[in-house]
Amino acid sequence: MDILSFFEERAKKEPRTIVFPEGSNSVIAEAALRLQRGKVARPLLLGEAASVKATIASLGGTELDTIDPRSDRRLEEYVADYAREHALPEQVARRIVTEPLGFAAMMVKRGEAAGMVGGINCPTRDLLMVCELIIGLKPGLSVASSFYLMDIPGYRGGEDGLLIFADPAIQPEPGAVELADIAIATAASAAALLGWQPRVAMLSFSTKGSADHPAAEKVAQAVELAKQRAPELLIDGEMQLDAALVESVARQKIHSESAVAGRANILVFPNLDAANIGSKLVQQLAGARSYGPILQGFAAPVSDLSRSATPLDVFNSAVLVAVQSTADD
Amino acid sequence: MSHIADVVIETVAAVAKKDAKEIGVDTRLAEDLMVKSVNRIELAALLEDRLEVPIGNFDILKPKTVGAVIAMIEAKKK
Repeated sequence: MDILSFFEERAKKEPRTIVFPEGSNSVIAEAALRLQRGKVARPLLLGEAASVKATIASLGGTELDTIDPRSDRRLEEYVADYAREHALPEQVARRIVTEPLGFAAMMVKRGEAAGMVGGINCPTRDLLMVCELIIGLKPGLSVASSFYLMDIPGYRGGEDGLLIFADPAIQPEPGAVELADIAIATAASAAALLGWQPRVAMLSFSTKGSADHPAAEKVAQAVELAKQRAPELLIDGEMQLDAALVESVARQKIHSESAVAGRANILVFPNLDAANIGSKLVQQLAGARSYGPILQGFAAPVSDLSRSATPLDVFNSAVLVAVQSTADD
Repeated sequence: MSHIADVVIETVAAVAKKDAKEIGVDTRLAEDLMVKSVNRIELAALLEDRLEVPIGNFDILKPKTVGAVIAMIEAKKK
C-alpha cells in the first residue's frame, strides 16, 4: 500500500469535517465530492451560496454542505468572539471574519471543523497570516513551518526508504530559535503522522565545528536549544548531509556517540534556500515522489494549495489534514 | 500633522499596544514596534474602517515605517 492509500484508509476510519474557504472553485468542489462520496471526510464549502451551488451542480453533485459566511447564523457570534479576544471594534472584526479565509479559520479555531484546506485562489502569505492570527500556533512554537515527505526510488536508508525534509516552503531565513522550532515540530509530525521514532539531523556545510562560521554556529545553537526544550528528542548536528545519511561517513566525521548520524530520517536544512533546492534536486535527479509541502505548527491542521492544484492534489491535501487532525487527538 | 497621519499613528499605537506619543513617522513597524506581519491584517482592517480606504493584505505588508503607511494611504486617497 502506498503512503497516500495508507493515509486515506486512516482518514476513513474517523471521517473529519474539513472546511474549504474557496468553495466556488471547481477544482475544490470536485475534490470535495470525491471526499464525500468516498466517506473519507465531511467537506464544507464556503462561498457565495449561488456560486458554490452552481459549481457543485456543474459537476453533477448535490450532496455537499455549503456555507455562505455573509448570511450564516454563526457570523455574529464569530464577530463578537473575535472582537472580544483581539480587543477590536466589532466592525473591524467583521471585516476579517466575513472573508471566507477568516470564517474558515474561525470554524477551525472553534472546533467546528477539524482542519482547513485553502490557498488555490490566494497567495500562501495571506493564508498563513490569517491562520496564524486566528487559529494560532501550537504552544511553545514561535513559527509555522513545513516539510516534504520524500519517497526515493531504490533508497534503503531513512525510514524504509522515506525521508522528511524541512522546511522547504515557509521560513526563509530561520534563526537558531526558529530552526529549533522547525526540528521539534517536524519530529512531532513524523511521530504522529507516520509512527516514526524521529532521528533529526540538523544540516550544515560543517560537521561538529569543522568550519568556523556563523551559519554553522547557528545550526549548532539550534541543536542545543532543541535539546533543552525536548530532552527526549534524538537530534544531532550541525552535520553535513553525508554524515547524516551514510554510516561509514558518520563514523569518520563524528567521533562522539550519536543516535542520529548515519541514520537520520529527518533532515532539517539551515534555511529555505537549502531545503527548497535540496528537495527539488532529489525530485529531479533521483525521481523522488514528494508529498507536501505539509504545513505544521498551527494549533489545528491547515493545508496550503498551489494555484495549479488538481482535484487529486486537493483530495490528497484534505486527506493529510484529516489524518493530522486525528494524530493531534 | 494631517488628519490621516494622526489616525495612522493612533491606529498603529493601538495594534502595537504602545503609547501614540512614542510613535513618529520614522518609527519602524517591525523593528521598533514588533508589529508582526500577521498583526498587519488587523492594522489594515482598522485603517480601512477609520479612513474609509480599501487596503489589501499585500498593500499593508509593504510599508516599513509609519511614514510609509501614511504615504500609502495618502496616495490611495488622491
